[in-house]
Amino acid sequence: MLIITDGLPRGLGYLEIDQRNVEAPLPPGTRRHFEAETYTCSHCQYVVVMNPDRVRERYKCKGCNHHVCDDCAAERVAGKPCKTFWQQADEAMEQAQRQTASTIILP
Amino acid sequence: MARYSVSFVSKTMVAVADGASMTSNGYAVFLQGGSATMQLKVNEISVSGEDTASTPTTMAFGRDSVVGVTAITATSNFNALLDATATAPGTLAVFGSGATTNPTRSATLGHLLNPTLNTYGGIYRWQARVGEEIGIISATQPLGECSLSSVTGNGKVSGHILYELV
Repeated sequence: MLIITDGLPRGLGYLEIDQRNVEAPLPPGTRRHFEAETYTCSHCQYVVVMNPDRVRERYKCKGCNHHVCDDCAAERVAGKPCKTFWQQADEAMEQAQRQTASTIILP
Repeated sequence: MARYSVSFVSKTMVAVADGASMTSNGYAVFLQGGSATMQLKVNEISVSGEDTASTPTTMAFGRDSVVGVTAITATSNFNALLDATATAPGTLAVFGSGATTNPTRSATLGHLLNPTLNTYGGIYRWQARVGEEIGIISATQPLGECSLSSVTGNGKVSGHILYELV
């Protein structure tokens, strides 16, 4: 059995910006063809483009066992509890269903 | 369930700030749940530039704080099932690029993705990691609609958004 211990996200999303056909100068430092891996923050669903030059650790939430974006990581470190997007969605759906199912007529 | 593609063809962007109402036909497309309990999962976005001169365009795909309603038009937008053998659900997602009340990009949730490219031939493509698709829930703000629009730049673009109607 292989146990992965480096803590990096795996099976990632994919981002490509292909400007090789652009017949115009690009800003200094901009690559003509950029490819990067991405993951989606489980708390707010922001898509994080993984900077290949980053050396800082990516925060993995212990509540949902998933990597989150830097903003949500800061909130977690500050003490905010883990609440995934799908938990928020479930709550919204429950609320919507309760409202449509309600037959109580208020005076 | 059913997987769909909603596309936009040769749309010229009108740049709009967060919190401001978009202009009919000045954004690529909005995608909205078709009912209070509908769930959509977006797993790919592609934008291709079609300008004939250099036009850096910063776009945003994200949630809207005001959703598109009333007299929705879908000029140069197309929505189709991806799997030819699938049966379309009874209620479909709502999409378009014009309405009496156009969408307003949320100042807090409006930048889930920032497709940025020079639309003089540039191509942008994002695919979600499996299980990490962008969710759209219900048909009202804050989670019920996402849109693809320009933050700065007036590029001419075509492209598609692939999503699943759960």
